[in-house]
Amino acid sequence: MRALFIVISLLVAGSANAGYLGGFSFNSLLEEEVRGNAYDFDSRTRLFGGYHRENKEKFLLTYVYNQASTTTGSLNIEDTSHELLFWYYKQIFRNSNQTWFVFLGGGLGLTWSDIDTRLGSSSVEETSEKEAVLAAAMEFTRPIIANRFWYATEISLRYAETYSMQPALEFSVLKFYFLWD
Amino acid sequence: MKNSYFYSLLSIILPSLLLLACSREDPAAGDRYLLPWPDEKGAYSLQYVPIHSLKDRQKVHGDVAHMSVNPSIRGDSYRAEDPKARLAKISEGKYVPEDTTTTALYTVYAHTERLQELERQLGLQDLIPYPRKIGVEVNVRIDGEKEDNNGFYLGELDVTIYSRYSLNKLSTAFNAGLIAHEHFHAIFWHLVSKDLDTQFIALDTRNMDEEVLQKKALKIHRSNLFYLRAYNEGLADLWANIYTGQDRFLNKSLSKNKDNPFRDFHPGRSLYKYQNKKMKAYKAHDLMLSKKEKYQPGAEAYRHGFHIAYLLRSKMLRDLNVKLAASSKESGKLLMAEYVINFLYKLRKMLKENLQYGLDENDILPLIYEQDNKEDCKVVKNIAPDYLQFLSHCYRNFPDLEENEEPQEVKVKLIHKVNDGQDKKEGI
Repeated sequence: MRALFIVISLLVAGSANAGYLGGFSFNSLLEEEVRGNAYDFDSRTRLFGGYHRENKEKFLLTYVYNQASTTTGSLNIEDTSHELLFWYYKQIFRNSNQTWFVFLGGGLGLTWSDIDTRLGSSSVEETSEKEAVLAAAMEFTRPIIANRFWYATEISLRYAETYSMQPALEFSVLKFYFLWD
Repeated sequence: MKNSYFYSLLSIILPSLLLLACSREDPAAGDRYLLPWPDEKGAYSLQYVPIHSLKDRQKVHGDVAHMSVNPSIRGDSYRAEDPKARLAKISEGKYVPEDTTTTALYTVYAHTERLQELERQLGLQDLIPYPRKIGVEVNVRIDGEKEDNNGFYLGELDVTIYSRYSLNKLSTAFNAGLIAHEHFHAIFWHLVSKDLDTQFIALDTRNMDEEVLQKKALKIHRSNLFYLRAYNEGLADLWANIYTGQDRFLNKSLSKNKDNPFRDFHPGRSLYKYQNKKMKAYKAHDLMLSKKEKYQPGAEAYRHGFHIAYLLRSKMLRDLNVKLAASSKESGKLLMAEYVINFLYKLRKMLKENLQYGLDENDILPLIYEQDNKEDCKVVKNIAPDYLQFLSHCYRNFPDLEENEEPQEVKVKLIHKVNDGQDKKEGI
């Protein structure tokens, strides 16, 4: 964590024409179901903040919090997953009017879960080990208000070292950036 | 500009290489998983349970079983997808399922591993094929009706399945007794049923001889079906009792109307008080014999089978009394399991000899109790006083037994063998 912040700080400190950005996105993670060979969508909200250089490069720190609950008879499992990723986005295309930009991104970070298992009066709460996540994304960005508000859609592929969610496609149809100097 | 692209590519490639270097760990023998597990007294709580034979954590595949979720079973075809279990690693060798389906997959696997170990200790490692094919959360429909909250063993496919669970008690796939019960059906199939002459039982009616299907032969066929089912179900309950050490296991998972209270191994019970129900069973049996349509043995077979299992257990505890007193819990379990397996060999021999004549209730008791043993006669008189044919031999051998309370005569129609074994008649 500390290392990620140091990296971001150094990048910001050494840049000219820099701007900050923050925002959120509503995502759907396409995952294989437990029964195998079948897929379902898991809705997740992603929060992010970071820094951009002339709309050519972006450095983002993203956080996802997601809860899932399953029950069979007297057994209930509440699984709360957390995911913290550092992303680097590079602009690879823009149209002549500069109304559309395409970014290619790569992300690296950590994921972990808090699992609360209950069987009648017996309950166990555990936190998993933090495990690595790798992601790659393609983002289509459209400035709505120049240097203030962008709208984007994104498709990403993520691979977690954990025993779940690997590899998985994630779609973000609604992604909003708020920018300031 | 070129440098910029180079660095952006590098920022993606380097982390990828790092992650690839951290390849997923294979399961280690003794890794522990948080599962609903019974304690010494049969109360269920969440415990970290070691599993030794797993080869793939996500597929839940190992030497003991290939697990699946809701496999497709139609007639003779069985098709299962590899599951994708969700586990969280808590620390080295310690894992927690992230959903209840994964818990079901792992709980059934863990119990099957222990049941296999029991067979290995009995020298029966080659009796039933491993890895077992097992499905959980199966959407079972029988004659169009949903059949939730149950377990099934399909002999022809050698597959065990647990249907979806819709009650608010302990799921059938978490119930150690129910898992042992279903597992025993595989033992019974491979040790007893598989090699029996199918023309006398309903295991495979497709190849049945037309002659056998004639009315009289059909009676034999249906009678055999009833008693085979009864022995299979009753002894499966006994296997569950030995595995769990619990007198009752169904009440933890089933609602009151489906939890058969008679399936209770509590020692010292007399089966005499179930005489009326037993009579009802025989009436159902007679009714069954008069039916021309395909017969489904149903609950009466369970009742009769449990009756037999209870009698066998009473005899077993008496025979092993001294050894059990000197044994640990685990070695005691082994002694009792060995006793039941030896009984299965005797049962198979009897079935092979008698199937062609049609089974009846008097075939089985002499395999358990000796009519010229006064102690045995006393026990049967006390706990199963309506086994009249057996007791009539006892009274002949030990006239003083009759001095006490005379058991009530049960006026039901039973099929009796005649000496040449070729003909049967109905009698009172």
